[in-house]
Amino acid sequence: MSAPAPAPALLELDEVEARFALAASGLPLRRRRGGSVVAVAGVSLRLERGEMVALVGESGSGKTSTGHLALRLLEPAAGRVRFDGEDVTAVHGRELRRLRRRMQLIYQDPYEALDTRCRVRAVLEEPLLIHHRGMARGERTMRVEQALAAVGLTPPEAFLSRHPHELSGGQRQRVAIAASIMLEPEFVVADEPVSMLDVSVRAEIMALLAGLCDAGMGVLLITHDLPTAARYADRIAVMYLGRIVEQGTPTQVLERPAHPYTKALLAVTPRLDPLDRPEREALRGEVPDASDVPAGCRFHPRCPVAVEHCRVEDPRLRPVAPGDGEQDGHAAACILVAGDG
Amino acid sequence: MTVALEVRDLHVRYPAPDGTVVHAVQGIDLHISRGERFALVGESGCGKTTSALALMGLLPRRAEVEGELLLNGSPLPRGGDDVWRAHRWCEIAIVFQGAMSSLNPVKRIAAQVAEPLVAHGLMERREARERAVELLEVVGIPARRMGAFPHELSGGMRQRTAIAMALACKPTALIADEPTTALDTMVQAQIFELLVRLGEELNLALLLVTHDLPVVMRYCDRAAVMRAGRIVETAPVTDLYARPGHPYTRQLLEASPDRSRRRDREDAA
Repeated sequence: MSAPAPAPALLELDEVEARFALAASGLPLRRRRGGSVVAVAGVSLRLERGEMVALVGESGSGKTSTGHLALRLLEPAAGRVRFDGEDVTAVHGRELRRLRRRMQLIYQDPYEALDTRCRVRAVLEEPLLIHHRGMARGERTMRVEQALAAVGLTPPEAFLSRHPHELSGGQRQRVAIAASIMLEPEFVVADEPVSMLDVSVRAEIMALLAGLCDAGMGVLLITHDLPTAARYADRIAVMYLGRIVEQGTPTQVLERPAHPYTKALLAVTPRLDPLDRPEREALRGEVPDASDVPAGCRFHPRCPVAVEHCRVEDPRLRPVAPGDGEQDGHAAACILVAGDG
Repeated sequence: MTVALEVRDLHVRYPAPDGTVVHAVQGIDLHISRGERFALVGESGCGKTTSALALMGLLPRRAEVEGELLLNGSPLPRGGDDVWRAHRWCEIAIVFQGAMSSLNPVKRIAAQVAEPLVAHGLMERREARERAVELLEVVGIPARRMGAFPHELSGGMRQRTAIAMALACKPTALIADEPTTALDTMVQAQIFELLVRLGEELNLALLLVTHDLPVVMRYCDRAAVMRAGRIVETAPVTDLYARPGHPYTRQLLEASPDRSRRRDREDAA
């Protein structure tokens, strides 16, 4: 960590913010704070090559917006995004297009992500036609077949001339993943890639992503499901209302959760063992709207252990449990967590 | 325990235009007692929702239904909507996934919950309205939201409204078909805790239709695992987990996410 010149991370988010302007209609005027809501409120994250980091949170937590910031599909309102050491936020035009080749997005819904009128071959050829205009047809076909084989659709020839409706949900998601790896990206954001799929297919698709990761690709997995994150990711970042409230390895986050929100999420996440039914009740209420963020700690109105000071202090991430050593990276944003201070 | 809901050798067939027949449900048997929470688990296309709709008499007309359905010991009638109307909602009710589609978008929720009470001739409009407000309070809708339209509510609140509506005519059996799809983890837990509480308070026979095995393990007593139109295994959830009898059950268990399965496996046994 204290090496003089550390190699740049594949992806580095530095205090990024995402804001959305509010439409003219919608919220009453008095609640429009300067006409925008802050969906991501200062998030920092590092992702290395070959690493899978999971952003876990409920809807409205800002996890998808964070993924879009990483790909610069959203312009950050503040903060920096660095990809392989290069400031993505400062890049434009041709340079941006060159960067985009190296990063891709996998969508949640394989039914919507594929053009229903295009055959599989056309879907997979399109990125090559855009980014490698001079490529010969023969090579394109070879690349398409390689991608199909890589996502387990074999023999590839059997799938080339099919339309999306002739594929099962799992096959569609495989085609969508094949499309996103056509340009051999170094980094993908997978936004709820399995939530639309059946359980037995989910495991296969996640194993496929984990395989790509093991081969050196960086994966930012966006999911609402802690167990899925724990099973496949190297590190987990739990988000609540635009902030990372806890991060660490799956074991740290699941076995030694430090933030009350993580604890509450874990308490209500069903486990397979039917005898393991904790009595703990679900938190009351729902995640507040991003246009109406509570003062102090964002979680305090729903927090079962909040104290008076939580209404005032907006806690930042700090290392958990000094005994573990600082380098283990387990951190939580809660004033009640025993830090290293 | 009295058996509230019983299904014997249920078959559902859909004739296709080309003369072939899709045999969606191929002879299933179930019995659910009052106060019991039973799950029908399976992946998409296994026939679980078709079975649930058959229990409500809500299958499309072209579907051919065969077998015996018994509610509190008496056989349910065969026939059209007229025959079903006396039983549906009054003895057996259903909560669907995504409550937006089962709620009327232009009607305030209290009026909506009152509707079945009036339609079934159980109450006068004013009394029904009072009962509706009571029901909505029971499911956890704050009093100030009674006049809200469905689109003004969160997904969780809409599903609570759908539950209130389903329980309006005091059914003995309640079917919940993927009631928490598209809801967040915390809201999902709130909805299941509500269903568990209502099931106990009202002594309901609860049938949960789902693909989510961890949810079944947490909230249900017994479960039937369904695959390709057939039930492959029925057992108390503790047995299903500890001694799955069918390879498909084992496969589903293995594919289900669980906190004990971790990539870093720091303390794996």
